[in-house]
Amino acid sequence: MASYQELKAQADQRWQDKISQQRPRIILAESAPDYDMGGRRTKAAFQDEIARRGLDVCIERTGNFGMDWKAPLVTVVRPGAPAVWYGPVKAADVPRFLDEAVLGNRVNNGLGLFVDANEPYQGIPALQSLPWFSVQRRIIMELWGRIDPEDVFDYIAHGGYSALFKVLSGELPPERVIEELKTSGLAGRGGGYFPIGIKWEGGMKARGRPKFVVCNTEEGEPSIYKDRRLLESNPHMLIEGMTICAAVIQSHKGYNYIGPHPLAVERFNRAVQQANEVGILGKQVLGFDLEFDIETRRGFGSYVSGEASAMQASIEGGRALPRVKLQRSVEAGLWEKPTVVNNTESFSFVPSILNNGGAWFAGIGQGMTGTKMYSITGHNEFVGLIEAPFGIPVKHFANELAGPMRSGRPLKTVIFGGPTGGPIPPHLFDTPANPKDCNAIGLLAYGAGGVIVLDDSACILDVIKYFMAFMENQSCGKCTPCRIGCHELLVTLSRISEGRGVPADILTLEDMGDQVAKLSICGHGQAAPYPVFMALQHWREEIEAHILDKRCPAGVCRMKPPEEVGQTGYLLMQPVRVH
Amino acid sequence: MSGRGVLSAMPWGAELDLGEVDNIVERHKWRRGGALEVLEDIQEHYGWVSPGAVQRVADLTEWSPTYLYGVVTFYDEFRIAPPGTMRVDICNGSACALNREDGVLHEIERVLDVNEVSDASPYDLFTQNKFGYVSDDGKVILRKVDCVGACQLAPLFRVSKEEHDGHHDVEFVGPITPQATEEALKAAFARFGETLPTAGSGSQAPGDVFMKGNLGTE
Repeated sequence: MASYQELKAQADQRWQDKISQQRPRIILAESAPDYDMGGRRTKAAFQDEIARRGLDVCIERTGNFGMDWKAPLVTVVRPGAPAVWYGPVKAADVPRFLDEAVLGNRVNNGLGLFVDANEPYQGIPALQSLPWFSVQRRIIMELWGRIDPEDVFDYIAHGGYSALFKVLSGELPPERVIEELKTSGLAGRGGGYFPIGIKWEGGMKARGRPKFVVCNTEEGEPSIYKDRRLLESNPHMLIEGMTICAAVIQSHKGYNYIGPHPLAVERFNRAVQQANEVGILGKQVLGFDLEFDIETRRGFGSYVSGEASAMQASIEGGRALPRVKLQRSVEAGLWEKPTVVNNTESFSFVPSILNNGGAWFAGIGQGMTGTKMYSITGHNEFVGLIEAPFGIPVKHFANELAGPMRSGRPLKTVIFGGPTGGPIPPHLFDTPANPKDCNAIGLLAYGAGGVIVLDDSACILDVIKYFMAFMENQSCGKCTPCRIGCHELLVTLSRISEGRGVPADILTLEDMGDQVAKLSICGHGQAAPYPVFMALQHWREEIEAHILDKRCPAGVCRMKPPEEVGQTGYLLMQPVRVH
Repeated sequence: MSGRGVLSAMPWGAELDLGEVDNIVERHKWRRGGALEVLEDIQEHYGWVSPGAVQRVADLTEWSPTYLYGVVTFYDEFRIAPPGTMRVDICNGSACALNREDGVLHEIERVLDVNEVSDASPYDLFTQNKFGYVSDDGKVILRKVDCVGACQLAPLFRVSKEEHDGHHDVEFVGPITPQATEEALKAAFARFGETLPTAGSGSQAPGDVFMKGNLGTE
């Protein structure tokens, strides 16, 4: 069993060998967006072309960088020159690309995005000078696009597993870890924002045995894809975080519940296997007296199984039905045993916090400490992943981070929080993006970091109807307020969007939404009406135009002719689909 | 609806060799919470979870068929109808659904020759995940799926061949417009060496997919 020092020395040696090569290195980003955009074909083209010409060039692999709209990304490192990033590099571009950017002197061949240096290089801008990047601050994403996600030594060479070593070697005893986490103010990134330090302390003090560490990578909501990219780009960071948690609470079994994301499952399984091979997981973690093993569980497509108690039911092998929580899961979770459940992102922050100190982390961000990963999508051009400190104004998400609208139309709204969030109107774009300040403007669920940017071709009623359709469909059906309430809210919204709304519908939405939010047993139903509240608070005129004037200001909703009004009848008698 | 009972006409999968089910059960039987794992492996191996396979698992273990069906019908990715040859998944994540022009869905349905799906009503948005719409010749299964995480292509659909290994040969097509749909589908099918379904005589109710006993088994 290799000790940490041996692993580190080996990793440093391998990394030195890698970067000191006297031949050009082509580093291909291999994550889901790159594959979607033809990355596999690009890679095959590179391999064929290099073999055909007999070139002395090496091809390497890396993860996602966040610039999904430029995928597939390719980095070229030539000896004595800064790394240059290119995209999108299609298979057809490969011969020309090799001639110009790798072997020839035309580094700036029109595909250049940025250089990883402080100064521009041959007309290609420096990374720091891109507005998209300069408003970001990367902690989790720091190594993305730079290391090979399928090689544990790349991570170790960049300081990986040093925090775990500190914890196991006694430099940071469990009490100190909890203290640092409490100082850091790290809060759960899955959307609940519960302080991690307090949760882990509860896990440590819980008396039941065995204890479990569960990571939540279900990620079933539309337009959010940060956790699966994390597994695709740096899975060892998560393994380190989970193992530290195991050392603190004295658990020997971890589960990672991954949604239906094949590449993330594949990469994570490979990472776990490697960690087992080098002795980071297994009977003796890094040679110390701790047994820890991580098992992957695949979610099979169910949004509600992202809810902690529903996920536990799913890991136990049944339908993902949430439970009424008489005890917290740190007391009685998986199989009624003490369980610490955290989001992928939350676990991944732990190593950096322990390496740099809780106070360092607490100094980042306003309103809430640290940074947050967001996936940005919608009508904008810069579709991808970013990591930014809490508290930067919402307008950054509308401008630098979103880029121009693809259609060239003006921006209408930015939606935070996915299907339980809400559309923020432009006059509130100075609001700091953190849960506290967003709650104050009516965005009750800040969510897990999905940001949707919409131009003025979108209709707010259509958007909230879409969200409600999702929530209604994914309701597990266990408790009545959520099962029937979401359905009724959806019926009301559809009626309005068909031009059959009556003024009392607004009261119905408010009243029924209130009941659904207050009476549902889990976060799914409690948060489902939030977009409706937000729309009624900030976009009331647009909703009222549908009801009173029978017109859709954005021209999206298909208003039916008035003679069809009054055909609905007894809504509650309609069959409610439950699955 | 036809007058036949659903159960009697339900594809049973009698032609399937259930030998692998025994191996799968043996692999997971003693693991805590193994039911979901067993069913996932069955789906991966056969492409669907047939009633015969469920019965076999129930025979071999203490899980009842009811319990197993409860699990299978809860999760969206499980399928209880046999697969076709090709699969077209229309992404219904927010970026795709809100970006999509009217008419794209109808155009896909026309080209693939499946029963008309209307995107006017939100009820239809998600309700067809389980059975899908099948082209008249039973070759293509058209489904609406939740966010596939390729929002840079939105609005998109993905085309894959039914080979149960999911990820590796998936063709993502986007952003789609009604005008370019037919060409894009043709090109995507050509990549898998397939042609578009031939135009059929008429459309069928989506429920009939469930009734068809011979889907994908020819």
